[in-house]
Parts: sequence; structure tokens; C-alpha cells
Amino acid sequence: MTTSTAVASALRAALPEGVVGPATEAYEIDGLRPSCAVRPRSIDEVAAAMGAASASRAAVIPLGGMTLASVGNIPARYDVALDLTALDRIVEYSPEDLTVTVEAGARLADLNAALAERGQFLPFDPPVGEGATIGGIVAANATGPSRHAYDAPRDRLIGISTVHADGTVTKAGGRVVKNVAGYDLCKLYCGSMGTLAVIVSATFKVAPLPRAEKTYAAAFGSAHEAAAFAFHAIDSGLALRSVEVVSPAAARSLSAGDGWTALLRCSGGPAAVERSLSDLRTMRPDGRIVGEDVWTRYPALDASAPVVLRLSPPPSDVAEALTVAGPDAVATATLAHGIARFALPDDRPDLREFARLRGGAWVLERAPLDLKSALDVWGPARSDFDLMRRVKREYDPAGVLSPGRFVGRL
Amino acid sequence: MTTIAIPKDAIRDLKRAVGRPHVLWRPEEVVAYEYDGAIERAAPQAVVLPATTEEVSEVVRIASRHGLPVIPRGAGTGLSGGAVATAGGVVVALTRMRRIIEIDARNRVAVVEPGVVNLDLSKAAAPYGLAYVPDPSSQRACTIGGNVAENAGGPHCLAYGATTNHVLGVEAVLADGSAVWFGGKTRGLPGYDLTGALVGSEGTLAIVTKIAVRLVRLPESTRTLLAIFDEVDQASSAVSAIIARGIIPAALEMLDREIIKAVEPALHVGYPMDAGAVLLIEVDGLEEATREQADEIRILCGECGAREVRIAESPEDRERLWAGRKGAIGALGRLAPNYYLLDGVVPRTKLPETLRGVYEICERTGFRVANVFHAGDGNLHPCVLFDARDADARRRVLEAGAEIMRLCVDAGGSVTGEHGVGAEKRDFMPWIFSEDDLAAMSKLKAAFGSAETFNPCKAFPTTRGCGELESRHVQRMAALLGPDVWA
Repeated sequence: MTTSTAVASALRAALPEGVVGPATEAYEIDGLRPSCAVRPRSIDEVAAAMGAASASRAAVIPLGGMTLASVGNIPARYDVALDLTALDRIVEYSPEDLTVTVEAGARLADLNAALAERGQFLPFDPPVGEGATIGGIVAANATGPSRHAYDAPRDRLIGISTVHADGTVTKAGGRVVKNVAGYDLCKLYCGSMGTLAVIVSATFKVAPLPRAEKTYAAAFGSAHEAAAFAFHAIDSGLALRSVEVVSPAAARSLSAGDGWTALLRCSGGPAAVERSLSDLRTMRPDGRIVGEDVWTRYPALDASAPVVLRLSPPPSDVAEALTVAGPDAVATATLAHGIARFALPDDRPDLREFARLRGGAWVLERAPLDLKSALDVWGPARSDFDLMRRVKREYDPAGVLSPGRFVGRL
Repeated sequence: MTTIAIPKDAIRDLKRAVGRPHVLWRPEEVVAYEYDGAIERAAPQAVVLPATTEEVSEVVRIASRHGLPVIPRGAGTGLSGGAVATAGGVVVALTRMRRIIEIDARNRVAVVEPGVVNLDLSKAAAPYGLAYVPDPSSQRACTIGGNVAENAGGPHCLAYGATTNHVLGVEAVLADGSAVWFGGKTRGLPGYDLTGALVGSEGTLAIVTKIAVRLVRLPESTRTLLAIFDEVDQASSAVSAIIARGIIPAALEMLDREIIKAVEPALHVGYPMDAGAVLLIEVDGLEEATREQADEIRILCGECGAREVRIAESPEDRERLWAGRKGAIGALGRLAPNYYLLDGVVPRTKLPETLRGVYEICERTGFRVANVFHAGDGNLHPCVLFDARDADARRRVLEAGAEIMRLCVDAGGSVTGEHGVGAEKRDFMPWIFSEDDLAAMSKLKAAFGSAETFNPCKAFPTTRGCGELESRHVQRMAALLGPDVWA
């Protein structure tokens, strides 16, 4: 193990003045502070930083907006914070092709402001809000309510550039919307939480902005009734961008009413939105239209919660999961995809056990350090874990990229 | 084509594993498995038809004990040489594994075996109001397992995505014979997305033995339009105009003059014989949405010079319009004994100039070419017409194909959109990927431990010991036209 000053001087020697700086409190992860922070301004500088860091076997954690920094096991080692926020350019935007290539450090909000000028957007709404960076969203494959209609980042990612542990720069995919040349490493890197390679740029399929949107909220006496109504709406083929079932506590925080609430965001052409609303009113006359700002309040739901737990049971078991958590838990669920998030004061082993029994998974996205050190926050390993370990060994043989943070402490 | 004899004891072991009737090894038996619609042919040393995951595992172990490569195969409709035993070995045909294990309508998931025919899954899901969306033109024959191997597309990819967007998990047999589930019926499983990495890996990493796929609600309303143009360029500009308006149709397909000449006399679907191009456009969703979009599309096509826009009024009309598209490749037999079907992709905006380039190359090299393709995705399928009995034509058609591929790459595109690299395009890979890019991909192969086992000589540039005469010719063409990696 190299000393922390040696790592910093190796990096300073490899990079221009001003790129390597002291690690401030802002770079702390799980209470660990690295010995230095590197903020490269180009892909070449990222490559130089990785080359120098791995030569001294320093552990590097790639970072964006730090909005998802609580996700992951406590790092086994953390020597260098690789801050990618200076890599924030839109490399190529082709509105007619519905594609955009953007550097990893660009903020989603800034990218979407640029795309909006051409009536388009990247339909991601990670639970942390638009301060999240593109690299972070891809690394976490982070999704929110829009997943219902637009799927996950992995489904819109068509090309990627990465810097590997040894400083090699590679790409996979391309800039066309359909492409099956070579292994689809986009999928491998997306969701790998910075443990295989540093994502430096990404190419996506973008979407046209919907011409109209309105959200219908209907409250029920139980999670099961709310889910049954929401499933009915989905089965009716209505034009829905988001279909969420939220707990009474969450509904209050969102100012969406009280009770177990189905939130249905109708989206598309004006005629389709009106027709969808009219059908929803027929199905459940006592619902009401709520402001679209309900969706921008979503990320704040768990902002101050000590514990954030995500379950992924089969969609048919979502209502039961919400019921187990109870009305006072701040809970939201992307119903059709079977993803439920809970903002909690304390751990709920009963919820984790519930997901496991129903064939789903759980992830503790945020937890106090004593809890994090006592378990794997990604839940129990599955049958494909051995192969994951082999993948990690191939792509990061020295174990210098975000060591210890991922599934099975990879 | 000669077959290298397979050791007698290997045949004996394979027969013991899957049953005597399910091992083929005599030249007259294996000949049906030497071809997948591409130009390359090679007879396997044996063909094995297992019925269960356990049998697949056993076959893989036996093959590896005897040092024989394993080539997974579905229906053999891949068109890229991917299912051809280029380096000899045992073809594992998965067509007996055709059970639909489960349709979970509430959770919109189906679990199937790899030999299930694509269209049969949608038929089985239809009573629940659901469908399996990716719909290659070969959907009456191709299998879900083959679709997974190639990351198959189809006309409805434009709005719904390709196979990779519909696969939630797979059970796969690895090179050591072990069977492992990747992903599963639920989403959001933590860990590396190895399911995503396996889809489109062209049978080089593992043999997929079960697949969990998502099913999609059948739309309330579907409207299909046929727009008829005098010129291909007008049709291309209509494609751009529709997308620019913020409409993403469920499908947006183009047929050019030459293919219309094959389709109409064969299928009588009502395409005018003197048209320069037709667009087949489909929108789906709520009644109100499709009516609005169909109206807009009709106007946009008119503005781009369409001489006529028809809207299918009934399901039968719709079927008829689609019959022309889905039967187009089959109808090519009317024009020439053989066709070489390419699968290039370009950014949608580069379609007009790329098509012009395709016509120019074919005119210069003396071939007729017919185009039927996924215009909305920029995924071209030039069908270069030739006579395979003529050895010189066989060589020259590969040259013309290489030039067309190069054209797509130079336009910022790719050498394959949905058929896979297979045997045919492996030497074009350095045009789009650097040595480092390819090395990063080979690490995945190393992790799966599959380098010498599954489908050798496919998907990546030719190594020693690979290659028939014709592929060596392609290799020379690749060197001549490249290689350089577009940034």
C-alpha cells in the first residue's frame, strides 16, 4: 500500500496544474475521506489519472453529483475521488436522429434544458432529482416514475465511452439507434456502480417531449384497492407515462391528498390525455387532477430519511409490500415494474424478508454505518454471483475501482 | 464441402446423452444444418437436438471433452452465418426445446424455452391481451433463443425497442456445462446486467436454455398507412418529417422500386408497380391518439410529395399491407436465383445519401439491388441480387457488400443492426472498433471462460484456423477498404 501523499504526488506528476486537489468533506463517502480529489477536464486527463492511480494501486471512486453516494457498501479502500463534473459537454446532438452524446459529468437538468429547445428530452427522473449527472445515472441505472413508459437508462443507452483501470480508453455501441456489432458492453457498464470502468461519455436515444400531461390522483382505503385501480388503468391501455401507488404518508408529503393513492400521469397528444382522464374519472369519480409539480417533489420524499430501502417484488406483490410497511412509512411504487422505495426511520428486516420470499430483491440504498457494516446492502448473492466475480476480475484485476462497494463487496 | 469425421466415441457419448434419434452425423443428415441464409456454408461434424437444460449441459461437457466446438442454433434464419459450423464441431439445435413454460399475465412475463417460435409466443399471449413485441420478418420460423443470440429486431423496434429491451432474464449453460440463471422474472435485481451482455452475444458465450421475456399490452387501436412516392428521396424526407414532428410510429418501413417489382406480382397487395418507393407506417395506442397521428402523417407525406396515402380500414386491409412487407424477401426469388441481404445501419438523416450510394455501388458492379428496410431506425437491408452458381458473381457480390458496409460505417453507422456480425462481417469490425475496444469485449469472453468452446470464428475479426475461401476474400476486401476507426 502506497502512502496517501505518494498517491497525490504521483497524480500531480501525471496531470496538469490544478487538476489534483485536496479532498474536502464534500468527497466523503460513508465517513471515509480520500487522500486527494482529481477533477479532470478531458477524457485524456481521466486516462492519465487512472494510469497514475493504478500504477500506485490507489483505490479510485468515480463521482458525479454525489447524489447517489449513499448507495453501495462501505468502500474497502478509498484513496482518490475522481470528480467527473468538469466533463460536462454535449458532444453531439442530432435532433433529427433523436440521439445525443454527452459527457458523464453533465447534469441531467442542463442536458434536458438544451434538448427542450428542440422539443425533446432524456426521460430519466432518478430519485435524487435533476442535480444528478449523466454518468451517475448510468452507473446506477437509476430510475423513477417515468420508467413506466420510458424504461430504464440501460434501455436508452446506445453507446458508451469508458476509461479502464489501467487508463485504456474504449468504446462500445455507437451512435445509431440499432446496432448489434460486438458485445453490448453498454449493458455491462450501466448499473455497475463504477466498479468495472469509469464512464466518460454516453450516447442515448432521446424522446419527443409530450405535448400534454395531466396527473390524476385517486385515494383508497388500502394499498390493494389503489393497486387494483392502477392495474385496471394500465390494462385499459390508457396513455400513461407514470403509474405510482404511494402510501398515505407519501401522499401527504407530495401534497397529493391522503390515503393509499394511485398517481397516474397521463401523457401524449391532447386528445389522448383527455380521453385517458375521462376514462379514469369514469372508473373512479372521486379522484382529482393534481399539479404536475407533484413529480418534482418526488426526490424530496426521502431526502432526510436515515434509511432508504428499495424492493423489487413481482408487480402483483407490490400492494402487499406496501401494506407490510404500513401507512406511516413513506413509500412509493412504480407498479408495473415492481419497484417499491421506502424512506424509513429505521431498518425494516421484515420488508427485506418479504421481498426475498416473493422472489424479488432488496437494496438498502441508504443506512446508518453500523447497519451497513453488518450486512451486504445489495442483499443476498444469487446464482450468477460467481460470474460477476469473474467479470470484476477481468475488468479490474487489481481491484482499484470502487473496491468493496458493489454486490458481494466486489 | 467436406465434413471432417467425428470420433466414434464422441457420437456414442452424444447418443447416450440425448437419445439415439437426436444425434445426426451422416453427411446426408447434417447437410440441412450447413446454412443460415448467409453466403457462408459449412457442414457440422454432428448435430445434436437436446430436449432439456440437463441434456444441453451434458452435450457441452461431452463436446469439450472431445475438443469439439459447440454451435448453438435455432431455426437457422439469422442471415449472417452465425449458426454455421465454420470451424466444424457440434451444432446444438434447440428446436426440440419449445415449451412455453409460463405466461404470467398479471406480471406480464413469459418464461419460454429457446426453441419456441417467435410468433407462437405472441399467439399464446393474445388471449390475455398481451403480445411479445420484437417481430423479425422471419417471425413465423425464427425462435426466441435465436432472437436472444442475435438481439433480433423487426419493424416494431422503432417504438418498442429490440429483443434486448424485452428480455428480463435467461438461464444459460456455460462452457463448463453448468446452468446459471441471469436476471429473472422480476426487474431491479442488483448486480452486473449479464442478461444484457448475453443478449446479442451470438452464441459465443453460453447456450441460453430458458428465457424470461416481458409481454406488452395489445393496443386499443392500430392504424396502418401506405404512402406511395415517385422517388426514394421523397419517402426519406417523409421519414424525417414524421420524426421531426415528434411522432414515433410503432413501425416505419420502406420498400423501393425494385422490391415492389418483386412483391406485387407475387403477393398482390396493391403496391403500384410504377412507384419509386412506398412507406408502410403504423401507429398504435388509444383510438384518439392514432386518429390524430394518422391524420398528421397523411399531411406530412403529402407535403413530401406522396402521390397517394392509403389508410387500412380493416384488420384484413392491414394484414394485406403487412403481407407485402413481411413477404418481401421471399418474393425476391422472382428476380434472381439468389440474394445477398445486408444489414447496415446509418443515422436516420443519412438515409437519402446512403441509399444513393447503394444504388451507385450496385450499378457500378453490375448487380441489381432491392431495398426493403426499417427506415425509422436507419436500418438498411439492401438485397443484392446474384446467381450463386456463378463463382465470379459470388466473389463480386461479396465485394459489393463490403463496399456498402463501408458506406454505412463512413456515414457514422454500423455493419449490423439486427442480424449479427456472424461469420460474414467479422472482418469489418476494425472499421468501427479499435483494438482496445475489441480487447475490452474479449474480457467478457474470458470471464465466461468460453473462448474455445462456443461458436468459434464468429462476431470478432478472423483468427487463425477460421475461414473458408470466401471469407478470406472478404478479409482482403476489409483490408482494402479500411481499416480505420471512426471517432
